[in-house]
Amino acid sequence: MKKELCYLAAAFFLVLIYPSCKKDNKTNEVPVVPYTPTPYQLKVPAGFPQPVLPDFNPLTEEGVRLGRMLFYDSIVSSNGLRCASCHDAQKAFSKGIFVLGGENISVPPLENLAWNPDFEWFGQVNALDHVPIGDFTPDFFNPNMDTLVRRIKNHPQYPTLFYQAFNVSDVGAITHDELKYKISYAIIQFVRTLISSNSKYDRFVKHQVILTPEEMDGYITYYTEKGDCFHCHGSILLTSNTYNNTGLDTVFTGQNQGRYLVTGNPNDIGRFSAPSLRNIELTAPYMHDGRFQTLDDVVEFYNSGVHLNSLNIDPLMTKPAKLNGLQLTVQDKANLIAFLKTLTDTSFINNPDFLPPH
Amino acid sequence: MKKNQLIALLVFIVFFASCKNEKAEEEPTPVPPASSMTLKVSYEVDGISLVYDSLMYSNAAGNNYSVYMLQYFLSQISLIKSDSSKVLMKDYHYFDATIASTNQFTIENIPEGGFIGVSFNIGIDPAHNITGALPNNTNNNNMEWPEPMGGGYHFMKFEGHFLNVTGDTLYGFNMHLGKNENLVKVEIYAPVYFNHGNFIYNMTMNLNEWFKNPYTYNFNTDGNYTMADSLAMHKISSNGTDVFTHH
Repeated sequence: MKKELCYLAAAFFLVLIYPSCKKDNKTNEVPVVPYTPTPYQLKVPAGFPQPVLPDFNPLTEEGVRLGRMLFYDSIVSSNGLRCASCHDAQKAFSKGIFVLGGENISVPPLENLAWNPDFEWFGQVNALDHVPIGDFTPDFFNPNMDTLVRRIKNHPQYPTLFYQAFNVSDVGAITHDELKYKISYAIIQFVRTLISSNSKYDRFVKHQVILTPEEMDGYITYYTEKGDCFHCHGSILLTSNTYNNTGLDTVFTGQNQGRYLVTGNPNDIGRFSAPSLRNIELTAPYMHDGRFQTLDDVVEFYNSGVHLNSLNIDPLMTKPAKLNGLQLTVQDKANLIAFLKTLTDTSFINNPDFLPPH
Repeated sequence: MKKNQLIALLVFIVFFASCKNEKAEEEPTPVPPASSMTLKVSYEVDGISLVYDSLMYSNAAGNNYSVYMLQYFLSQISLIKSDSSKVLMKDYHYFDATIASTNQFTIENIPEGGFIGVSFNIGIDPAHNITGALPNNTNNNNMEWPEPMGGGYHFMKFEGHFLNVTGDTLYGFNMHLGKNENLVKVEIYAPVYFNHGNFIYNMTMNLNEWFKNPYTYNFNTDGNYTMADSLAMHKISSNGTDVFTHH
């Protein structure tokens, strides 16, 4: 009886695997090499904490390579758009604003995201790996999925790369949703490698360079009560990863309601993610809706434009020294901006590993 | 020949005896049962459980206030022996009152015995109150006290809103503690005895205790921000020695 069961199980197993063997032969897309992705060693810069990397999308050399190609390829869209359309390396992978539902939203830069706990201005996405999924909508890539599958299958490199990165031998054999996720995962593997850690400020912290007197004065303003930038934009990552209402508005509608749109908690109305100020010189316009065009505008807002009667205003904004504005002089403001410009990392925006693949 | 036999016999006896000793050493020696202690912290304001962003509390000075953030360190967490000596159990722990997982931790391998109490600092002890001295993680990094202000770490960030003196305007308050002279030393005397198993040690922080005894702290007159105000930090840290109770 046991023997018969074994024969039955073996026969069943053969029946199961035969169609897949046939399909593989038919599509002829499976490379004859074994699926052995190479773990990608993320280089954690000195002074940075360990990043938070998910188990479900481990970094591999092949995944990063595939993601980098997809990032710069309009194959993912039906309208010529690509990730790089809105994430320009020369702007620290940001690019102005985009309009969604009639409202302006500032494109956040892509840098050091391996250290962020959640993403987007309201923290509406908990897993970075799922952020690109939102780009498959009509507002962005709007792809015809059948066309996308055909394009990938006909591409000279993608079939092999999908196999090497994800063990997918035929993108036509997985569901469209699965394909979207594989594309997202690959793109995010590349995005996680976008690390900025070599600004003048970084070298200053490591005692490799000194700041000019103006930059040093701005540094003092930034990291003391005088400007009090550090509570939300401090430490090595230059962000506290918190949600704050800095008194931009007193009336909140639409996207301007901020974190409340995610939590439904009225106390979160007007609270937005505190972004890292790395490469801030390159990422204009500023604030979640891009309302400020220059760093001068931003500094002047904190100096004299904060709405202290804003609902849920952050307690840090109503310190005694701020009740009548920061009272920064023209020179103070210029020096603060000089310091902010030390956060620019030209080796990051020109890193050949981050630019379009040849 | 007899002499050789005698030597052989002695060698055999010595060898056998040493074998016996080794065997005796291999026998498991009884290990006193180890215990563990889970320290759990809860938060209240004069008996009312903490609710965030709700202007429902009143301190000793009569300020109506709400709570927005409470983050702090405990360090040098120790058990106090009957001879007043201390056994260090944990170097430090980071608490964020809004994140439940941070509000408890377990200390393993506590030997059997009795202790008369628990001691710790609210804040980071001077030996480690140096920027970069704590493990490099985002929680610790977000608590850094800026180098231009002396470096080290925030001991506590306690933030919220309060109604001003005329009761018509809402301001923020930021009770931030840092700098070695403001380390809050706490000793709670309540006997604990460990004799195997896990022991739950519950503590409650009454937030209103930060605003009284010995100094009745008034946001309107003492200041709603402490970080650059050494006198305000002194008052708050002095009030902090009895914010925790064990129950």
